[in-house]
Amino acid sequence: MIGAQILSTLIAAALIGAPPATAPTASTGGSAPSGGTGSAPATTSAPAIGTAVTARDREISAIEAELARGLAQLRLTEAPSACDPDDDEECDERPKAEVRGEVPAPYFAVVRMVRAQFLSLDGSYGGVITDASERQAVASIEVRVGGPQRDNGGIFGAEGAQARFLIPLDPAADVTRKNLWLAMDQAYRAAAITYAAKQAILARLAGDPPPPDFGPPPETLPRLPEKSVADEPIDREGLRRLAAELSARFSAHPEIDNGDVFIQLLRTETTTITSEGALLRERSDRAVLSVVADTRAADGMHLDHGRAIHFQSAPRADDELRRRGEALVDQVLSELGALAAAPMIEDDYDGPVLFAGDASPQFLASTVATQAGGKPAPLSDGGRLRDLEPQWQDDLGKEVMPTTIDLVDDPREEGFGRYVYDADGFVAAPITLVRRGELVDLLMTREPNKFRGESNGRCRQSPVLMTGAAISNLRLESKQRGRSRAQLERELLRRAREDGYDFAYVIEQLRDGNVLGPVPREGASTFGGARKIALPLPALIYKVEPGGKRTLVRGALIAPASMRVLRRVRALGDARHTVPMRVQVGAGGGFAGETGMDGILSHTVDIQVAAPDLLLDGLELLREQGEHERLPELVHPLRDPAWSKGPG
Amino acid sequence: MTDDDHGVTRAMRRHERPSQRRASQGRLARGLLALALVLTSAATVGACRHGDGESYTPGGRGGRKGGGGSIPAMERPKAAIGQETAAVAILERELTRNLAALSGDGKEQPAYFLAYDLVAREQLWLEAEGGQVIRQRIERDRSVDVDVRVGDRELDNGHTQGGNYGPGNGLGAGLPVSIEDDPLALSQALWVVTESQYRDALSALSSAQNTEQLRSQEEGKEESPDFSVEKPLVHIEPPQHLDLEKLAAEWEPKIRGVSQRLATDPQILESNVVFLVTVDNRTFVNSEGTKVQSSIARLRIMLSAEAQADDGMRLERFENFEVHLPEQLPAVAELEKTADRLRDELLALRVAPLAEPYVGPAVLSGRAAGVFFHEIFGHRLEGHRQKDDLEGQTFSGMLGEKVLPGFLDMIDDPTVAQVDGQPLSGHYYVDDEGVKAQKVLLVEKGKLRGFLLGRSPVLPFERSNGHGRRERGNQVVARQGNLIILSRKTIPEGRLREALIDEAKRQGKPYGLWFSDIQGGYTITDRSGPQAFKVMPLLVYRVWADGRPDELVRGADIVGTPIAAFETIIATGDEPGIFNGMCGAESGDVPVSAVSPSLLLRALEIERASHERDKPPLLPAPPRSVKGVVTGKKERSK
Repeated sequence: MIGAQILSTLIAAALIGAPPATAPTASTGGSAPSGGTGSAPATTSAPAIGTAVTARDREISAIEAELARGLAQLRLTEAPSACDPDDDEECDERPKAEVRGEVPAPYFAVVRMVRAQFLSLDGSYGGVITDASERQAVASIEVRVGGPQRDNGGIFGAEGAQARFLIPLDPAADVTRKNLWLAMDQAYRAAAITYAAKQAILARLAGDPPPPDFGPPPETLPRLPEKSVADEPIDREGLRRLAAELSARFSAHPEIDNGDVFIQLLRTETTTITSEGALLRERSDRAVLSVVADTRAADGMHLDHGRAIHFQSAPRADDELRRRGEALVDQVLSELGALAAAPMIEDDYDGPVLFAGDASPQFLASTVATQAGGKPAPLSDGGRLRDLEPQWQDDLGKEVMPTTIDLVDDPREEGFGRYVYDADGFVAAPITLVRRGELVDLLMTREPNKFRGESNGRCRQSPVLMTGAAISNLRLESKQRGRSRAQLERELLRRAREDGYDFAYVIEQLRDGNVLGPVPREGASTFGGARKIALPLPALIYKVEPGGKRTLVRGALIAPASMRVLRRVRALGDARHTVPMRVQVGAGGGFAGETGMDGILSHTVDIQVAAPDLLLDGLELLREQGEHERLPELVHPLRDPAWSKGPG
Repeated sequence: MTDDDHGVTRAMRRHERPSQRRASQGRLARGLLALALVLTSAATVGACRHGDGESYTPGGRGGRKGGGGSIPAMERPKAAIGQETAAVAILERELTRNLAALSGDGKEQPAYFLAYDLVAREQLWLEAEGGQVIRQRIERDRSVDVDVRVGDRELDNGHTQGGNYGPGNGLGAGLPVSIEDDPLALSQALWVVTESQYRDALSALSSAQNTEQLRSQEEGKEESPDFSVEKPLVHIEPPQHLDLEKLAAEWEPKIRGVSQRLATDPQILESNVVFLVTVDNRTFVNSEGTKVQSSIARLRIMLSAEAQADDGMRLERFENFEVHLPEQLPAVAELEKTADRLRDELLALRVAPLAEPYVGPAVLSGRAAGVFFHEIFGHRLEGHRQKDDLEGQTFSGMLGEKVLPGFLDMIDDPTVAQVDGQPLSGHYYVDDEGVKAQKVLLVEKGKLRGFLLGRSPVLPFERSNGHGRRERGNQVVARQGNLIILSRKTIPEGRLREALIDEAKRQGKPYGLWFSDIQGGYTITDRSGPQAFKVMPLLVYRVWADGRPDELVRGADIVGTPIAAFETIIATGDEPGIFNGMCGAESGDVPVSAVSPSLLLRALEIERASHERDKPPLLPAPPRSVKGVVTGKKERSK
């Protein structure tokens, strides 16, 4: 029993108040019982002799002890053993009934902890609406019962049997272990109930049995040491003043109804501990400065617009940040002003569209990032929910893009999506998703599908401890010679003519729902399903016509499209656009997510997509149909000459 | 693997931007409408937490030590006089500007009233568990509620319809605004929210007018107007501030220590100690000329712990100390004593026998009596419940009639800051509609004399009596402040147990019931259901008539109907028991107090409480470490 051996050694170290004399190497130790996680060797490292045992070490030891005890003793059908796993070897012996598969005993557990400090500032028209800073600490425990071949995973709405619990702001072994004890009890019960429900569902379903539920662990289990890095002080006062100052620039834009300048910083220390012996630790600073504004067009259409600058360190309110912030405010407000004055798209359109600039990586982050996931469809009472399965899964080995294109995802590359270990403890390594147009790999976590049984290190974890498949640094490479923007637009218009149009559309920016949140207009909703995916609204879309005329238009929606649209990449640009983004993990995440500023740091992971302009054929644009509220009765203070004169 | 709104998420989500708020306002309004209906129809009250005080000691006496008489000593201080802050002028200017636009010529439906209610809140939340801090937050925010009225005072958008008390009707808003008195930032926010409130007000008025056209007139009942005429009030207090960082630093070790003490037994599954400090500085102006600048600080220390009986029943103990000034906070020794008591009570409750359904004599000791009156009686005297057709209107037509025994009086007096030196949470000077707080005689010698009123009149009462209250973001409705019960027929507290035994013997009952603490409860005021109540006691003892020692029982709920229950009060104790806590109802959570002597009742009915049947944790509690060393079996085998 791999986990228990490692853990009991660490418990012994804790018992004598000192680290173990040598770092134990748990190699084989036999496979985990009841179809355990296999015999993958695991290596561990513990504090060296003579080093101080920190509160963090003690807390980790306590967690590992509790995980070992839970795996050894948590049973629903019999009374808990009276033995003490801390010093009683017989506790390692599982009931024979469980070995026969009669009892859904736990075989794997993982604790994920996050201790966070966040700063949230919201400036609006020179005032500060929000100035909040708080430390928080929370953990989750996930328990798997049964065995890797068949466990409680993959059930819609009950996946992971995860329980969450509060932990002390500073590491404290006793309180954390006690709360883990109660949470693990709940997680185990939930897992056992889900397991039974799943067995009943599977007994009803025809067809091939589903793939195994849980893949093997990393070949080498990581035991990451504690990093003693002094945190950069957070420039709360400076950033607060900056948020107010930047938002005061709104006073020069009476055409804008409303808006905010947000500065947020989330400093996290995450720890992941598995019953197999893996220990992951990571500290990070993630910050964002964003500008979000809204106004009404003359016909009443409620328009919003926003942009963000993302940071992977704690920003300081220096001149450089001020300069970038001012430029961002001015850009957002001028773009929104132009949008409010822009005409509506005249009619629906079905033809070629050029994704230029940021829009090209944003388009890939809305499609590939979510649809290349390897997570199989979850089960429900009615069978597999195929609509929730990433659409590229069935296309493995098939041509999904033009044969000149490769898609490579490399977490080791310097970029916004860089990481060293994934959330399951797998060492980061590059993968080629698409080679010469053929889909050759998927974004795999430890949840296998019928094509892939093992992880390739794509499990990412957000600060709220949500895990799932996500890309890292994705880049599109093409052997086809890229074209200039002018050449692309000529080709665009040529193809549009073939479709009967004397104009075409260029999208330069997609609406970032992870900054803006949901669209404030019901008429702007599009719905995926039936093997089609909903795409973000164009934020900046231009109608281009022969002779170089370009007109910004509003009210355009991209119709839900199938992933086959990526086969219709007809031409590419000659310059690569690299865009850092923050997205939610899993098939529901990607750039099309809508966390808004409430969740832009807590619910997301960092990714980066690099791609040239993309000319796609056969994309459908729809004219938004919707009623708008009439314009305000009251006069905005900046549009009221009497207001600006002051009191009296 | 799933996500939920725990920890980081929950806190981060609290910070919405105005445009998001506005965009979601329609959806929010619909969601909250449903909530309000649920609250009114099924569980009007129930979020009230019990206050500080000592619990019953078997064989001893309950309640707090009072002044020894039946009339407690009440302190009614005068408000300090301060200078207007810049916010007053900004609000007045914006109010004038916006009302002019909404009530000007050509408006199909002009606004006839506008009020801005700006509340700046400074708050400290310090929470410890098992000797460790698990949450610490200091935040400062400010929000504005905007009340726009269209129509006229007889029928406007505030018209009570089917339990709908907003939001979405133009009353209340709770929009976060600039923390500082920045004219443009405040003006822009007020522009946003006034516009949306006006639109909501128009919709609500149209709905009210349609409803009234289709509704039959109740015979012999004069319709009460929707909005009262009040004299303008100018009330300016100095702003109040507390050094929250200093308080946090001072109290962190104390809270940690007490939490450690509370958690010492492994049978205590969950426990925590919270130190919560809230300072609200309010600026209120309305279009009638009222301007109010008021301030209130509340400091609370809450201890709570949970255990589980072997049959799965979750057991909870809670204690709350609530004061207005830091120097009024309890000493650490008192907190430690409280922690020990709560822990011991929980351990006793774990092994206590289950209560059986029973009707017999009972004592509701001190604050339990206060909770009882608050839940069962006080809420039924709130003005809006006399007007809404959905409400049971138990007391609406009973003015001048007997509703309580003749030896009881009941008042609600928010002007009282302390009773017998004990701070009351329901104290305020001006209500949330800019009306001066007033003492209201509700019951005199057992006869009903009045209702709790905000600016929604209940004829024959045409004016507010200063009880319009709300939590930020809600419409104001009439609420309790300090509900105080006064008795002319008292028994010394020390002799109540003896009187209970005498009554049990007289009735031939084997025992009487002593209710030492009540968690809260609910009363059904919706007329589609029975006008019944259920109250959840936390500590109940059987007091045996044959001299056996008193016996703690668990799993009992008090049930009944209000008029019948209060008729059985035989006598009261002679010392005031004080309940301080937060009360949740249609207008949100507001701080309240209830003061009552213990009650001796001829008959109260209890029934078995429903409870969870989950097994206790499958494994025993893990071993505890000492100075970083995990201890062996002996430590954990309690």
